[in-house]
Amino acid sequence: MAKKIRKKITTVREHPLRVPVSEKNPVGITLRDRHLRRLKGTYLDAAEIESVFKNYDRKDLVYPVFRKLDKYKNADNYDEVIAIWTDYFNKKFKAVPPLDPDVVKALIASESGFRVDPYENKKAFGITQITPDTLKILQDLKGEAKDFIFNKIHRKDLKDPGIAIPMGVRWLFRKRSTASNQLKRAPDHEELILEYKGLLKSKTDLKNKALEIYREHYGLLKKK
Amino acid sequence: MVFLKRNSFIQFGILFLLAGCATSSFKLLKQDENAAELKVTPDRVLLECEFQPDHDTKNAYGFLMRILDSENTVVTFAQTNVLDKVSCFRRLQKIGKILKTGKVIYVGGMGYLTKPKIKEDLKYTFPNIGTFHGNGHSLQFMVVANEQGLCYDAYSGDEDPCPREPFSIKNLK
Repeated sequence: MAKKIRKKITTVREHPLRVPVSEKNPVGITLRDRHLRRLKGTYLDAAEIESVFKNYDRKDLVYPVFRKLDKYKNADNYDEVIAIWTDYFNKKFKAVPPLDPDVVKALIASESGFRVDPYENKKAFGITQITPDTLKILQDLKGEAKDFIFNKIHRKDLKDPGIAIPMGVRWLFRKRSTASNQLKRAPDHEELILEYKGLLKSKTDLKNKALEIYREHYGLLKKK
Repeated sequence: MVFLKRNSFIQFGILFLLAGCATSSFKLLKQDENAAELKVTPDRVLLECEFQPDHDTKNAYGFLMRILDSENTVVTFAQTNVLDKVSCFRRLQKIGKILKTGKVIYVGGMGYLTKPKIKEDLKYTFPNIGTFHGNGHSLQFMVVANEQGLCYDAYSGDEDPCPREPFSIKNLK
């Protein structure tokens, strides 16, 4: 007998939804508009992030190099988080070539110096310096990163590297696509980092300096 | 008349002392693996919030600090995460106060000041000193402080502790 294939439903029709009884809604039922369904395996919320991290198969996992950026306090504290989420998204997006976890580590060094809450910047948050716009895009079912999104992650959650790192890695994959579109070829790791920083098209001195500093950090990680 | 002569002598003495204290200088205090500390007089420091016109977000700025070294070439300390206008200009103001109130400025950054220099095309003008080329040294800005105890960390501002590991201001005075 042929196996019955379940059709993936991506939209949910308008339907009644139970809500707490209130003065405004004494019946406790409201109408929920037609909306997209979040399918399991296409998004991550805080609980799912924790579960993936906890249960991840660590066999053959590629870790970033340690003890090379140790002038930064805590530089090696997030190696496991970086390794797991780089591997997770490499597999999720079938990345060729796969993203190197050392790229992620060198990026974090240049973005936040491994500080979990670098609050002097009001524009970006957490160890991977996620901006409010990026946070929105990464959770938008219809947005540019809709092929894999996050759910119910708030700005305050970005203080947790366990959440900010997977979001940063996901955003790097998105930036790989946008950089490819601009360059009409796959970006190298330096171009990818510039795109993450929003400097790929830039002609400013900051672009040159940011690139030199990233190169220095990445070089240290690759030094034998 | 004698009083005036004495007075002018005192004035000259004060000016001499001031000039002596304000001698322009730069000294590399420490170069570890990927971390450098230096002390410099404030006249050798330039601050800049560079507008990023091609950035995805509006009002994106980059914070850059140019320092004139002992060989009159210019080192750049850069904050490589892009800032918004308010954050960048507030930092300019706070670090400006450190430069204004200090005679000795301590700067810490990640990178190397001991690598071979490259003459850059870009030139920077330090008022009362002159215009000089960049030397290809780019460090990640981490901290700036003065001998009065004012301090500013790249990521946590003036909140204690400042400076943070691996930097210290014990070599400053």
